[in-house]
Amino acid sequence: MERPILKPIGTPAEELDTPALVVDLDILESNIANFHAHFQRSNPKLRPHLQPHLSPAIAHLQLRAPGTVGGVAVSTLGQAETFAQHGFQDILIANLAVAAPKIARVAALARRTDLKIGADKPRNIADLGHAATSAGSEIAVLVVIRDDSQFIGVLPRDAANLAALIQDTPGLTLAGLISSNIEPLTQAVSNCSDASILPPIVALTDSDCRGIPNDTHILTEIIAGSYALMDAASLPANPDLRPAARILTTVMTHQDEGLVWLDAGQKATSIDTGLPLVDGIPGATVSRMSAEHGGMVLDDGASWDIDLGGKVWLIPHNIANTVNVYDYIHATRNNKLEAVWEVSARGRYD
Amino acid sequence: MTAQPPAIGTPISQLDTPALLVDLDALESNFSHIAALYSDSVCKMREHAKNIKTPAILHKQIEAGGTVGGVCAAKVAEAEVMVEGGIKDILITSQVVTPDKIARVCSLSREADAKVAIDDERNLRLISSISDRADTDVGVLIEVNTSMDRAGIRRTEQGIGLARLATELPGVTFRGVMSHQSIAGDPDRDTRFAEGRRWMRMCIDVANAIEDAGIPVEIVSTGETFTIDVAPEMPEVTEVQGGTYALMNTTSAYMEDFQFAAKILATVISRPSDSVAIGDVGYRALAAPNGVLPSVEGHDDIQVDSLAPDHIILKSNAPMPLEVGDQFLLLSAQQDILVNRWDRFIGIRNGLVESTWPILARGCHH
Repeated sequence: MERPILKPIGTPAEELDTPALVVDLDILESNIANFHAHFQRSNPKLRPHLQPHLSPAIAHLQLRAPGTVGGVAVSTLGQAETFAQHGFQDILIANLAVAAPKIARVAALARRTDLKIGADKPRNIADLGHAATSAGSEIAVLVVIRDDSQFIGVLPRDAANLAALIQDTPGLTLAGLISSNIEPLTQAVSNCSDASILPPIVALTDSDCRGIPNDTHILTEIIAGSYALMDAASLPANPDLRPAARILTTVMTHQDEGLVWLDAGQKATSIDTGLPLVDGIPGATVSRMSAEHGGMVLDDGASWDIDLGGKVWLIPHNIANTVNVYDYIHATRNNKLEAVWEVSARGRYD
Repeated sequence: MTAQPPAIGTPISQLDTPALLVDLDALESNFSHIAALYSDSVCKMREHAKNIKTPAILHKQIEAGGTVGGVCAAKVAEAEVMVEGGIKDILITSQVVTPDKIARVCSLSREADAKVAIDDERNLRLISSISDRADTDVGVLIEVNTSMDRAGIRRTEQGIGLARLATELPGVTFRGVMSHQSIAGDPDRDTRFAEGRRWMRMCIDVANAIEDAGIPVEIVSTGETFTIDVAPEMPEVTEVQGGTYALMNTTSAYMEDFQFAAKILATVISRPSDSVAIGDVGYRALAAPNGVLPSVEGHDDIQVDSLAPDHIILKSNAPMPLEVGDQFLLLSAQQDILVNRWDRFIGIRNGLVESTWPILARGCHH
């Protein structure tokens, strides 16, 4: 488990032990207010996706804001179990559960929460039904509609057949349809409508915040998450949002002109989708990262006064990947520590 | 809240997935190989805790033999976990530059033989003043830059100056020199030996220059997994900082004496076409820095096509042999980044769970 030197409330942000995942509360609150405003007076409503922070404290801020369906979305059953333990009731798992141990856990969790999970195969629907019946629970199932990544889900023309099968399976109820692409989702809705099936939920997942499509009248909800903390990858599509989460680092060696090494490398940032940006030092770039070190270089012609022991702020490329390696979020306001939050669902790939 | 550990004796086929497994026969074989290679040599293993992050497993190499009796750690928090786990000899291989962290190193030096890498006079003076006030003694090793252009002194005279200063300042003791190298791609044995010797020689040359200046050098800590068999041929090297060898990864497969011990167990959750299978683990859990992909063990006919955050896409030229619900094992390309994303190792022998270990220093990148 992460074990930073935890500092007293009120400590200036730049005195926190590094590397640290630091969230500016004013920016977080403003991001939530701005993004939720899109959903306040209209359908579809927003279902916050928790994968980009995995933290109950932030999830509560999101559900207290206007414009939501009153529930949350997660990526794995392990995350759903964690948030259920923290009191969340309406939880949508935007994924499948196929193996027997997982299906048994889904059936058990569905007794205590308003749980929804995806399915894309008749066999899987039968397995979920058996598990629900023997656990004495009822599982709400979403038909997953295949998206452009082409790896899970049914084609739109098969949506109604699967939806009917869910309706006819004891122990299951039809929760609705889910996809990450609005075109096949629209086709699936009309396929269901032709068969006189009205899915209660029509959900579009946009967990990386690529932007809300204009043509949203068929949707009941949009599942989005990166808007709260933001990251370098989501900034271009969301000009009214700002990075709330940054990594505070310290220069730990400075041997060459125009090159310093920070104490945050791949392990403290996660570079699966790209390198972080440097915040607040014009002309400075993270050029490469090894496991424990991050190399920061200066453009030709630029200058900096950074030296050994100096602090550098990084903006993660993909916030969900970065949050996943921290156990604590340091929440600050006006650059002073206000709270330390647990990243309770980190590492729950199960 | 971590996932529940499985019961001892559970067959692999009944494990929930994804899960990080350790093949115990392979792990023990890797530890035995080190014991055999280093037991009668001046050069000993100082296993790197950054890879396994679990004191109980690091103790197994110390018990197997061929070691200095201690380990190294990348960061202070990682070193603390090791010392709390009963390790008595610890080398921190990064520079510790903030006063609060230096105070922690001083505290560690009361519990263990604690040493830290330095490469800067200002840093050395800061460690000295904090340690002197705490009435402790912190060992310092001068880091020498060889192949990485990362940390480490760039000129021999810097090393001599730092060594001399360390012998004069209170609160610190000069112990020796260290360096870390890396080699790209899939080197053949001759290349590996030639490059390894050349880089370790740079570190040894600094040690010799310091000795020539009249300052005894106790420790020459250099070498890593790709130089495990090179270092013992160099009589000046006293210890090797090997990490990857214990669990191994596919990008180090050219080190043929070691077996793959870390494996990720996953399950097929979808079969969108005849040749494609989707598994329930993605780059979030596997780590894929710089685009490196894992491999499917025992299935040369299956390629890893790509990784999504929580899914893996497998492709086969022939009809895909894996069905929905089938388990498969993945070998990692980047083992220490992988381990840092997991909270537990599940030890497996003969297809059954034999032991589980919390990965106590996961996330200790401070």
